[in-house]
Amino acid sequence: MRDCPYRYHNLYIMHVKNVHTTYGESMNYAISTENLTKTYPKAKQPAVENLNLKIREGEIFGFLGPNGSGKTTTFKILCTLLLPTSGRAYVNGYDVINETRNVQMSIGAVMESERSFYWRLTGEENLMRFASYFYIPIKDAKNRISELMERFDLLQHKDKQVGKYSRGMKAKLSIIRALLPDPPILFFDEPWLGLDVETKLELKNLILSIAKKEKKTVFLCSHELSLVEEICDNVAIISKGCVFIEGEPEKLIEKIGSRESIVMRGAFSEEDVQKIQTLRDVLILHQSKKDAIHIAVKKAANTLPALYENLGSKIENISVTNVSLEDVYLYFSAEESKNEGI
Amino acid sequence: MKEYSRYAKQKGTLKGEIKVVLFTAIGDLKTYYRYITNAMWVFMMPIGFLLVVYLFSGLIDQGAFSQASGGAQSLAHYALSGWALFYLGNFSYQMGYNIESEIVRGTLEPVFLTPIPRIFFILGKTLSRMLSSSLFSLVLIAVGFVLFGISGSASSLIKAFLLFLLCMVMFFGIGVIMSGFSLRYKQIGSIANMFTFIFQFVTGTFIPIRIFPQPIRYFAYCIPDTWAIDTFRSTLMGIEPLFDIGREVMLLIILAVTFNLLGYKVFQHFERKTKEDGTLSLY
Repeated sequence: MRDCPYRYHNLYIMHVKNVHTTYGESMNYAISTENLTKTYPKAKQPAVENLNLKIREGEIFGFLGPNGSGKTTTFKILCTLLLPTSGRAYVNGYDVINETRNVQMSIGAVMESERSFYWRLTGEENLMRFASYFYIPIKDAKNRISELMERFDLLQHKDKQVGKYSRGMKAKLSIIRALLPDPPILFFDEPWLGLDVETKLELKNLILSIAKKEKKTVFLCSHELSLVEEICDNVAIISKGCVFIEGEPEKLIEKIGSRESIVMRGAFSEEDVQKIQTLRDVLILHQSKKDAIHIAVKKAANTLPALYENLGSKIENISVTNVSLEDVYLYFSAEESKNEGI
Repeated sequence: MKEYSRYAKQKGTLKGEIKVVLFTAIGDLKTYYRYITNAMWVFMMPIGFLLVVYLFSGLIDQGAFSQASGGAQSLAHYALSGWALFYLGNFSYQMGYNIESEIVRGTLEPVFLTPIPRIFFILGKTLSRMLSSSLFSLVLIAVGFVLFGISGSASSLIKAFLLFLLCMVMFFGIGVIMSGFSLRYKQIGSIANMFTFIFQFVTGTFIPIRIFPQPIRYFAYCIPDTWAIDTFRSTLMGIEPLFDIGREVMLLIILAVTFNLLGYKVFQHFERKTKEDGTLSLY
């Protein structure tokens, strides 16, 4: 039997909350969950287990994890598209199970699917349709749509059928739809999926600017760790339904105790890996089929001579960068895997 | 905290709900007719149907048909009025496609993220189909008047129109039930097609029920469309109804109320089930 909240109890990196809050306390957060658990019918393991999140008003919160870790399940429960098996969740102070409509009146959500529009309707027709679903008066809706389309550089395409939009344009349209009612809380599920680099950066800046200028709370599920690191105030990493690390990106990076990250490419043996493990201040973050090893070190300049001494000509290529959220993610994922193996 | 979205403050007003219905209906009509083949189908269907009825009319012994049908002038008269109502009823069984198409399109989840009561969304989707179906039905009747000389007094026309509206309400209830099943079981298209195929033969659309063997007749009595078609046809053309017309109308009213209440509950139940199972957007 799994026991998520206590799994890392003895590790110094552990920061999972297992606090039983009252309804009143939950009201003080923009989003909060209390032992939230979801088990799908016929599933052997819960998709989400005893999840306890506390997200403050105005916070940009990154929810990270590999595929099938429970991110989208959590996203859907918080957005009222899915019912939990047990536990509670509050969004804007409203219970997602019993106050569904109030939650829906408080949120805007961006789903990962680009096929979430009526392709034969124009961008503006789609938005007017969804505006009516939020009871936005027609005049306000028209003004709001023009304002947002201009801000997202889509105004000149408003009369074009959505089927003819590019993927990036559809992604922008999804965000505009979520922003239509000007909700205090925004949810994003993989907003950058399948987008080119320029569009990713553009959307990142737009999300950041909207969240900060308009003091919106953002719940963001993504694999794009570099973008998440840049915009999120706090992140949580979930694996197999359990959050195993949570905190500010900078503090999580500090928790690794390393400052630099080294990626070496070459043909390495198991023995080579063991040699690296014996070196001082080296944390192995990831190794892929022995042709690449990713490590974190306190100071690369001190470690590089030892690496060359031990691996020598086997190193075909080496790169050094500052430790990033991606390294943190790799490190804790590896720890999680080790723990699973115990 | 506890502040809603800035622009989403008109919740629950009648004006707001009407807007939901209209925007959904208009959007669906635009989506439907922007596919040129759909527009062609709507135009070709009545022409094809009228042609078939016209050709068959010449082949059938009108006297025998009139007797079997309870006094219809001809097959053309009988079939036209039957088809007008059948086509209206047909949309209710096909309403499952409404939800199915939203799931396939990927638009169901974004709609279910909004605070509108689902019933108004379905009503809007139904309205667009109903408008097409009603238009088709009314055009058929009007063309029938011109081509086959269907006679009817002003009062019978008004009564028939009111019955038509009552049938619309009843069929809407059935449609909501079908939508609920579609939400839960996804591909109910084959079942809908099966209903449509069987019903066009057994509900008296163009074959008089009186000539059926007894078991099929009893089966026909269990189908709401039978009563809708029979009452409408009797009122419009003065054909002898299967039973007392007053009782048939009462039955239609009871069915309309029952199906609508049942539809609402069924849809709510299946929405909850899909949210428990996580199958809302699965297809």
